[in-house]
Amino acid sequence: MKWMFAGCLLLALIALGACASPPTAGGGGGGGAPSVPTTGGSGGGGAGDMPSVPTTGGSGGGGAGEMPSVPTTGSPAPSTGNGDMGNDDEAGGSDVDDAATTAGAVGSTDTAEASADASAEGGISEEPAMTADERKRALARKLDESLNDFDSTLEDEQRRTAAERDARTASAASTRGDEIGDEGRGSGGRSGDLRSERDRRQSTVAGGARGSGGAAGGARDRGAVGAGSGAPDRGIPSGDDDDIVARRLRRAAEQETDPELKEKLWQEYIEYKRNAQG
Amino acid sequence: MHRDDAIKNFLGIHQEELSASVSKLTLLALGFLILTGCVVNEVRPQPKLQAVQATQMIAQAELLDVAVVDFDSGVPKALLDDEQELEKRRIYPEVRRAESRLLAVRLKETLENTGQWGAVRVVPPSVNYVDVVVTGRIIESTGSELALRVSARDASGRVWIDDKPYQADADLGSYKTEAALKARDPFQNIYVQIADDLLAARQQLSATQRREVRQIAELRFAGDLDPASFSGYIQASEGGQWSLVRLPAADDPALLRIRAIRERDASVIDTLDGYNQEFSDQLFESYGSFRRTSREAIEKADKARNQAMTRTVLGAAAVLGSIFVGSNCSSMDYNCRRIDDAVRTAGVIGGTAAVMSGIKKFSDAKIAAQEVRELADSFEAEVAGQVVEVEGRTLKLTGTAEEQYREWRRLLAAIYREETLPESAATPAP
Repeated sequence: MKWMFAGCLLLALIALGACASPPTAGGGGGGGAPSVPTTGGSGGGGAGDMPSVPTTGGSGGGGAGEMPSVPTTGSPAPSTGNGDMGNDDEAGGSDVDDAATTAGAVGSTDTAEASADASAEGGISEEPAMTADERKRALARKLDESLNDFDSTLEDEQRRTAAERDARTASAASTRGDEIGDEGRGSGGRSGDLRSERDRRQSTVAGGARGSGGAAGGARDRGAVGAGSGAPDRGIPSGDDDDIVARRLRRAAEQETDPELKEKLWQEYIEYKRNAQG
Repeated sequence: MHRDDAIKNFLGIHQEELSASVSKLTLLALGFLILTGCVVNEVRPQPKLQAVQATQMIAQAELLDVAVVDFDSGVPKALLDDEQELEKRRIYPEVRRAESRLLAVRLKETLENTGQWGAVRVVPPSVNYVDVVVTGRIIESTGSELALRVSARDASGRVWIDDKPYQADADLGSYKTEAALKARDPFQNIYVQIADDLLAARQQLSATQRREVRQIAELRFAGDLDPASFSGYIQASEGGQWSLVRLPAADDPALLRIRAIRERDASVIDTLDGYNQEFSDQLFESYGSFRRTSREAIEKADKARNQAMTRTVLGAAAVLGSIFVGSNCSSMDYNCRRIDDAVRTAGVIGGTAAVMSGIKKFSDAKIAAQEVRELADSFEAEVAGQVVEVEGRTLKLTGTAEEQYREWRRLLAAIYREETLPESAATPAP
């Protein structure tokens, strides 16, 4: 009987010790080190998966190992692996996000579903330590971060496309030799943008087009896009009121991979904007 | 008197025979003319139409964006496995897959060059909420002929063009040199007609209606992402028409958030358009060259087939006529009968030769058709990889974006919840 009691006590002690111990890297379903921004949408693991960056609470409540309130970014970056990182306190947010995504909540516009998701979103709304304003700010920050991450994804993709196009153009120019020569790099070889486009446009009427995809219209997070797009940090006018030509130039500058040419394109953009504004 | 009557009767009979022969000859000649008419390849110079250009500044709020959706390749599903029938109709599925993007890009370029529109982009069918969406289906696309059916509607659901057929023969001037091909698409007239029709439809809208189209597009996008915040601004009728109920405040935080997201959406569309443009640029020369050579081969095949048909039919008619048409010579008129026999013999020989020549021409037509097939095979082999690549990239990006939008939907819903719930309700009890 004594032995049994001692055994139970020992087991209880071990269990308590395990719970109280600080999170360690890796491991199975238990603790894990918070490290990489959570992926928010891309799969992740199944039950027991943890968001990789602590969110502001969660259904698990407080307790040992509670992390500071850093919102998850929710970007569609690759999953961080087995999904067994983080600690139990953070089980709310991204885990549910992943579940919703992988469960096929495709294109849902259902408010009820969105609200359900929202309630689980990072557990922000259930964090007892936060006021409503703080929660709002945290969500807004999370949205901003998500937008920035998406910008990076898009920029990477655009950069890759531009690099491929450059390589193709260079290859075509080299095979054609003198026929194309130097102009292959600048405008002639890159149909659909830059100078050729601009000349064509200027020969017609600029038409007073508006900004990006014509869709932006209103406020734009300049900091995020501007920095990410590789725009030099000096005197780049806002792209909010860009017409088609300006927009093309801006996009070309953003996508250009050659720093020298990029600089020239930005100059051209600035000059064009200055002229357009009189 | 009897003798006169006999002569009259004789002449009368011969006149009837003569008129019957004349009728037969006329019919034969007509048939010949019809058949030979098919053989004549009339090369009419095509008028070089130019799309109506903008001559004055269009207010930014009224400048509509256009999404040209990748065209439907128009390959009948029932025939997908029937290679013979597809070949007979000169439908090459891989070529059509490429053309669904290539032709859309041509239309986009035409629209862009008019200066009448905002951003014009070639997008996959999954893209929504653009001011004006143009869709098309390829009915016929060879080097010598292009036929499309095109529809267009705006964000409010108003139909601008309703499955209208467009058809044009190739402008052979564009096939003359590489430079000519670069300067003008052989079927540019079709794109110009579509552009002008779109413009005509837009001009029927008042400035207010055009502004509303843009607002509805934005609010539909907003409603998709943040239905809680944007319900009630627009409403849809049973016929799928959207109308504006009211507008959000210009500084509405929810609207500003939506605009920030929509800008990313525009970037996605730009990137997708970039894929298509790149695809088109890559294939520009080879596609132009394929069209030119296939047009020549098609023309050769058609010509040979028509000639074969004509010769065979006329030859057979000559042989049959020589054998079966009765003689008008009297039994005593040896000269007439000799001439008649000689003519019949010549008819049979000539007819046989014509039939033989027709058969030879059929063989030529087959060879020319084979040449068309080989050209298409070669082009298909060239484009297949690139089509797969562009489709793959498009799918990947739209998938990523879709996933991201789901994330944003959740965040926006959470923000809405935080903004609308009373403080006491949102704060958990201690």
